[in-house]
This record gives sequence, structure tokens and C-alpha cells, in this order.
Amino acid sequence: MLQWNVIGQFIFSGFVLQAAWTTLWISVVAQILGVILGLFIALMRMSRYPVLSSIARAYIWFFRGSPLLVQVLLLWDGLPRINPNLLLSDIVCVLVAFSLNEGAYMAEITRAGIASVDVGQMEAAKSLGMRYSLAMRRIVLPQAARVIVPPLGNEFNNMLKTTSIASVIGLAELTHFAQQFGSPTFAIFELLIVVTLYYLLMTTIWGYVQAWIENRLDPNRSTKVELQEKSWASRMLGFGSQAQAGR
Amino acid sequence: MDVVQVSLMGEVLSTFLVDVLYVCYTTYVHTLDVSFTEEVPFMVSFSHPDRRRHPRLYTLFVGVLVGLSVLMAACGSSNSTSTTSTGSSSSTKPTIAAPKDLITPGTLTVGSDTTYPPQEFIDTTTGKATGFDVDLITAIAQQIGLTADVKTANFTTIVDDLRAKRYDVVISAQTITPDREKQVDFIPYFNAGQSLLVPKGNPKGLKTVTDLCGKNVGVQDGTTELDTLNAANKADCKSNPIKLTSLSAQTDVIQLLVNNRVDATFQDSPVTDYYLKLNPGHFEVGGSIINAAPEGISIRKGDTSMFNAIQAGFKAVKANGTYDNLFKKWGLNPVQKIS
Repeated sequence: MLQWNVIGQFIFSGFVLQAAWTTLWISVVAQILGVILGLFIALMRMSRYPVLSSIARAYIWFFRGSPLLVQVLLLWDGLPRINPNLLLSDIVCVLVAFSLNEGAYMAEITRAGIASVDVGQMEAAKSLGMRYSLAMRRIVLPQAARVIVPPLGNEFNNMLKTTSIASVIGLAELTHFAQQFGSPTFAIFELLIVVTLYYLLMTTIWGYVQAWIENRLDPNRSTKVELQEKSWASRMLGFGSQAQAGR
Repeated sequence: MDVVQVSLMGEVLSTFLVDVLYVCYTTYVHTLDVSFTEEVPFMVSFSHPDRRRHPRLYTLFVGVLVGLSVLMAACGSSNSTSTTSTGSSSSTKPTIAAPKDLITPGTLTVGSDTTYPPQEFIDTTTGKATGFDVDLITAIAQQIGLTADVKTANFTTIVDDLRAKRYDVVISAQTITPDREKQVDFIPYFNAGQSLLVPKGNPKGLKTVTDLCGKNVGVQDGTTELDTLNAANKADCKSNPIKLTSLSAQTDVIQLLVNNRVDATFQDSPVTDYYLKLNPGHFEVGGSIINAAPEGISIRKGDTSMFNAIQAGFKAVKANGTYDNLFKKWGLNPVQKIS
């Protein structure tokens, strides 16, 4: 019953490449905006001024506490009800919803990263005459980055797949492509296989990029040792033969 | 979303990204220093956040981000599935007064849930919307001197989307119901009924809605079929309710039947006929068409000039034979014509 020819027909078609590109750039832009937003929300959350910290708490509470799908629909259908001028286009709506949502998660991750840096670092920086912002930028955040990056990579991996939610408002990303192109010919399952391959391709490549970034951030370079000593299969599967010496 | 909007957005975003870049970059360089100079205390290595120390990396980073934004702006316009249908050329000049207050001047922006063949679906070779409804609205738009631009919409939110002015009109096999008429105005264009699609041989003998009591049935969200089934669950099937699986795309509903998750699916008669024709030997129609009711092109309440223009355009399309030709083209039962 599986129509293999449909998979062959679509796997390298322009439509799926276009859809994959949309998925990719939406994820990248939303993640970048989310990281920036998350940093500021985390700093607000840790602020000693109750106004700032409670705004941040409320923000995190709302965006972590409600489903992303609902947030997207609220922006898409809810905003124009409040004011007809707040009619966001599909791309803007998705970017806003995704980056606001991601900002809430990144805020908690960033807060954990900052908290992992010993308070002595900040005290020492201040005793050298640095202001809070300078000490945060030059002393604390770079050290926190090591802790933040692994979960951040996880978040981006998630983001690549979460973009499928954008299909509900008709944005032409991968999942939407599968639904639309599968409809006239019954080939929805075949097209879902096609898009799954694309999602896997993107997350696999990201896995390598993340390993490289973590390697660069690690003073002991343990990841690099692993990359050199283990074969591809043993890295992917967690078991298997060692790579040939001298590779 | 038009090109101007997208390129503007791309511009704003790229400016923003470049602004943000320096902050990211300095953090990045610091972390590089950590790994390059392990013995150097943090304080020393971080006291020189200087872009001049890694000029090439900086340029590369800026380049990639700017390039990404430009690409975004370039590709954005083709991101939403939309069709600019020019249709067959007509030599006659439009005589109907063009509607005021269009979203894009010169274009009739149409919303349609393109997962509903043969009325509206995506042509998998061109990637554009096609089907009876799409051809019809294209012909009507031509009569009033406009170009139809059919945008993919989600059926569950399509009425809200029209009211929020995402589209000028909606043509999406919407059956005219009193509830919907409270929200929007309709111009009837098609007389569809509801029918059951069942596996070949109709093993459970499903012919009417009451036969469905206690059975698993697939149906699309927000449809009149769902209303019919819900009404049956409150009346005839009260003691033995129909087990409903309602999904947001008709495609997925049919898939339920393909995978034997449901005993029958319930949808508009042309859709049933289309799937039957597409996969002969797998399915058949259970019983006959019931609840025949007109489907309408929906228009925002108060948009009088649009209503009049579309109505006049529809009359013209019927008068010049295009309407009849489209029934033949899509192999639709002529019983379903609006007289």
C-alpha cells in the first residue's frame, strides 16, 4: 500500500526544500530572539527590585504554563479581536509566539547558568571596581555560558521540530507541506516519511554543530577526545567498535 | 504576506540582529579565550573584549547573519502557499463595479482550506491551489476585473480569519448554516449533501446516521457533519453514542478509514465521490446523500460592495457557461448546481 514512487517524487522537490528552509530559518531566528529575551528575563528574575523580578516571574509563569499551540492561536485569532490593527501575518505571528515562548524557557536555563557561577566571582569583580553590568558581561556570563550551552542545544533541537505547530495557521513549513501535498492523492503517510527524513537530517547536523560548540567551550576539550577516539557508529549508538588508530 | 512587508521585516530584523551581534560576539570571544588559554585567569583574558583580536571571525559572523536576513527577505514572499491565478483570458471588459476596501488593490485575496478535494486542494505538480471552488472564484474575480490570490487557511479558524480581514472572501465548501450566517454573509454557489464513506462491501451495513450509533466515525472539525453527528448523539443515539474522532484536516480523517481506525467517515458528498474515484476498490458510499444544503462564498458582514460585486460576478459566470463547464471539468454531479 505504500507508494514508494511518491516518496521518490517529493524527496528532492523544490516544494519540500522550500518548506525545509522555512522551518530552518524560523527556528534559527526564533531561537536567537528567544536567547536574547531569555537573558534579559533571567537578569530581571534575579534582580533585587521586586517590580522587575515579579514581571519576570509572571512572564515565565504564563509562557511556560500554557501550550505553545494555544499561544500561537491566541496571537493569530485573539489579537485581531482586541484591535483590528493587531493583525499579524503568519510569519510574524509564529516568530513572536515562538520567541516569547522560547524566551521563558531560556530565562530559566540562563538563570540556572548564572546561579552555577560562584558568587565569589561577582564579589571579586566588584571589589576590583567593576559595575554590575560589566562584571556580569565579562566575568559571570562567560562562565555561565558553559552551563547554558548544552541545554540551549537541546532547546534548539526541540525548536526545529516544534515549528510544526506553525502548520495550524497555514504557514508553509515541513509539516504543513506534508498535509497539503498528501491531501489530493492519499499519500499523507508517504509525505510524512519525507518530512521526517528532513527533520532527522536537520537535527543530526545540529547534533554535530552542538558537539563542536561544546568542545570549544570546554577547557578540558573532552568532547574532542571523544570525537577522535570513537567511531561514528559508536558515537551515534553508544556502543560499537573504536575508530582506527591514526584517523 | 506581500514582498514589501517581508523585505521591510527582513530589514528591521537584520538591523536588530547586527545590533545584537556584538553582545553575542564578545561573549563568544571570551569563551574562546577560556579554551585557548587555560592557564590565564578569567580576569586577565576577559579584560580585552576587542573585536580587532578576531577580525575574520567577526566578519564571518556578521556576514552569515546579514546573509541570512537578506535570504529571508528574498524567500519570505514565497513562503505562504498562495496562488495567483490568471485563468483563461477573457476579451470582455468587466462591467461590474469593483469592490472597495480590498486587502491588496487589484487582487481578490481568497481564503480556502486546501485539504478538501475536489473543491479545493494543492496541485502536487505546481504547488498551487486548485479545484472547483478555486476555478470558480478565479472566474468570478476575472468578471469584476480582479486577480484571485488563493491563500491556504485552516478550516477551524476560517470564519474568524475572514472577520479579522485576513481575506477578502472565503470559498471553502462552507455549508450555509444559521450559526454561520450570524457571523458572515453567504452567496450560495454549490448544493452539497453529506455522505458516508465506508470500506468496500460496507461490512457493517452503514447507510444512515442512526446506523452509526455505537460505531467509530471520523469527521473534520468545525463541519456541519460534526454537528449532525453531535445532534444524533443527543437524540437517536443517546443510549449508544457514536464514537467520534474529529481531526482538523479532511485528509487525516480519510486516513483514519484507510488504517481501519474508524468504521466510516462522514463528509460532504463531492469529497466522498472524489476519494471513491481516486481509490476504486477500497471504499464505497454508505447509503445515499443526506441533508443536501447549499454551500456559500462567505463575505464579511457590512462589506456591501464586495457582496454585490461577487454576487454579480457569480451571475455572470453562470450566464456565460463557465459554471457548467467547471462541473464537467471536475466531474461533479450536476444535481449539485445552484439554479
